[in-house]
Amino acid sequence: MKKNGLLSRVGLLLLVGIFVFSFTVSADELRWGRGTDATSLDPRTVRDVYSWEMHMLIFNSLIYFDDQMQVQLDLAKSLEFPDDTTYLFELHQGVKFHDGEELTAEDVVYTFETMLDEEFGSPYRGRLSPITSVKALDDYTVEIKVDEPNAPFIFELDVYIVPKHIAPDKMDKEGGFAHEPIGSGPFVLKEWRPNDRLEFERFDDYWEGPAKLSKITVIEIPEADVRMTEIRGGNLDLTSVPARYLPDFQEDPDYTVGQYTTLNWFPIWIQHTHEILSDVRVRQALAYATNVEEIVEHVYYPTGLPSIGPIIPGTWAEAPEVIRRYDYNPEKAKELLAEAGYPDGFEIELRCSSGDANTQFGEILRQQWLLIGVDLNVNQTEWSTYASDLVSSNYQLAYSGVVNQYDPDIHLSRFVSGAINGGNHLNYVNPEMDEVVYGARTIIDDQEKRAELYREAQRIFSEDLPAIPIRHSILSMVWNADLEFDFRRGVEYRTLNEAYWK
Amino acid sequence: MYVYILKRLMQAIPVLFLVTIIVFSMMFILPGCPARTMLGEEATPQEVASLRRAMGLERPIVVQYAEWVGNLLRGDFGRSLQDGRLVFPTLISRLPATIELLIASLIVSFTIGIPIGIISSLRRNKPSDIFARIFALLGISMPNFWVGLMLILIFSYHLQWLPATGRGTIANLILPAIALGTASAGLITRLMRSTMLEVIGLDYIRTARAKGLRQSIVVYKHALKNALLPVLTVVGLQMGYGLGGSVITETVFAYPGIGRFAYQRLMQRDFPMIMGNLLLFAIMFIVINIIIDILYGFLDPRIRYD
Repeated sequence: MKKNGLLSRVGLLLLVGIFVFSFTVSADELRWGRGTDATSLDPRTVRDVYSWEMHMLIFNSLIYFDDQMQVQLDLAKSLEFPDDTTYLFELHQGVKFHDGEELTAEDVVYTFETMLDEEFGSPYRGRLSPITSVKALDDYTVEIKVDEPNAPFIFELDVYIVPKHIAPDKMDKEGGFAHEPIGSGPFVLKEWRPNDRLEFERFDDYWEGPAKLSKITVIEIPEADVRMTEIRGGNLDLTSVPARYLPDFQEDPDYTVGQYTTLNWFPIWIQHTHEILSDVRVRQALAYATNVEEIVEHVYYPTGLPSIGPIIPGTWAEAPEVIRRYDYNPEKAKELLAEAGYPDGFEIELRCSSGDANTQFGEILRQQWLLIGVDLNVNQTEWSTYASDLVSSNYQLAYSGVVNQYDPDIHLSRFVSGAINGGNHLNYVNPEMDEVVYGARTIIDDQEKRAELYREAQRIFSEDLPAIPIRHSILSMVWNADLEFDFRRGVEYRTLNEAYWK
Repeated sequence: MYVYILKRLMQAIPVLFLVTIIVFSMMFILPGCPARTMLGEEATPQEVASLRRAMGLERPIVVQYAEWVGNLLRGDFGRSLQDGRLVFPTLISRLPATIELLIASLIVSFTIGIPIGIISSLRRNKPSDIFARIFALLGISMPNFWVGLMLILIFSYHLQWLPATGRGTIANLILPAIALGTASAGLITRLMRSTMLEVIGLDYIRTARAKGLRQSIVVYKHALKNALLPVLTVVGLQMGYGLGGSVITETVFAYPGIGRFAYQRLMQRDFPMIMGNLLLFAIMFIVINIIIDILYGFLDPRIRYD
């Protein structure tokens, strides 16, 4: 009996030893499940999206961009352009950091100066390099000068402002500020348990008025299926789920599915030095032979959207009315091929990176093009090989995306001569295109005029077809339908300070 | 007794030394460079090379190893490459969660394995025995990530009885403990069955029966006491397997222990963290086994250490 007694006593002790305290969720708390944790909360030091989402809660920027990619003011009360290389920001007064100190022009200057400092080693330094000076004209006025007129550059000024009196001027390898940040944003970081959770509390002195939610807990759950289970079980309020479950959530009145078209675009890149492909009739024939709807439905449903041109749908420069369409028409494609001198088609190679979706894409496209006699060989290689061949123009056709089109210039500059924004690996030359895209680059304060030029660029693109548009991608978040949350492209989680439980 | 403990601790030193060599060389076998992982796809080879130099990855391996072990001896496990956190305190802060899970999984495997093993041995070759043997076979063969996902599917998704993730309450612990404990439960069932069968055939049990004692007293007081000893020694081994299993189980259940931490930092190629984590696992394994050996002396009067 003695030994059994010992065992049962030990067992009892262990049971008692396991802590019991129940989870209580207050009415104005939000539990947000993500697959990956942040790496640093010093916004000057990292560029990964998981850290950036957290910076949105803790910090403010001078300006930001809305779902149409239009400039919106945040810390800046006004933005003026005294000349076409100067940005003049007037700041709101009375903006407080979480420690009670006021945010002034000095903090803005300090943030930019450290990011531009080579020794600091910020990953944003290269992007900010057009800046020639950042000056505080008084406590609430900041002047930023750049080397030449550069309209898309304004996006780089969407930078989170850190407090000069706390944030270090050297990249702190040991954490400190990066783990316990102080910002001016609507939420204060209370605790960060790495690879587990981040706990935020509402900042009562927030300059735009305190947030409606009192607490946000960001929980890392690596398995997407488990995140889906947890939001179903009521243990999460906001999360992303695998695409295959989205239709279920869309039909369920207990959940809201927020979606937006991302700023990424996936075309088939065409190498214009290739003899056959340099003929516009061939390019148009290939576009007519491509059934984009079928591809998107079979390979990318429900996260893909058929594309008709390089400008992201819903952004300010989009002009679908001028775009020439190539709706699926194999007969027309055959005619064009015959006209170009290839009545029996030809053989061509498509390069893409490995991955199931690319394999499926290649199979479907091969079938579609066989109908007009084009024999497509799909050559899938590992991503790094593909990427280096792409940038060195070592391909006939290639399929991959370009990301982050915060300005139309980012994607359109792929089709102009001269190496800007990663360069024209297609070797596409069109003086008309050069004129409009370069023209729009130098207009920094007249968006309507720029939009007009980009309308022309989209028309030229659709006529001459330097690349074949395939798809855009859609990002989805799922949240509890009782949560009122305005989730939009660009704005993303900035609106969490206005989110509330109904 | 103390001499024995001291002797065991001394024996652990060469083992630990070997472990440091294995752990360190694994970092060089792993594909993927931490500098490349940190800088992302866009970085140029020059940028990667300069970061590698800054991180000290370009020096001779022996020099790197000697420095690492030297620091370890001073109690310095280094800092994370990813977020600059100190390795040792970060790991230690996640240790209680894993120990909690290991203990819970042991409770699960013993409370399932021992009774089923006893029943199975007493009703040898009857349907309940066959059922128990099938259970044991399944328990051992099913991979624990699969068991975990099935448990989540049934109890969290369909029935919504238990949360799939998190830590803090008994409810949070139930599913991961079952997922992690199932394999050991199968093993313990088998072991319990075979040792019981062995013990029940011995003379002293026949004597007990001849005295006219009730079946329950014969089984629980006389047979079980002796049959349980070999089972207890399995605890140490199971804790070790549990540590390994915790990497998968904790990841599936998003449980904030060191197992999941090991997995995530491995994906990031956060070498100092991974090395610290592996070393900590090895130390725990060694310590658990020493404790079990010592406990064995208390439980079995035939064993004397001096």
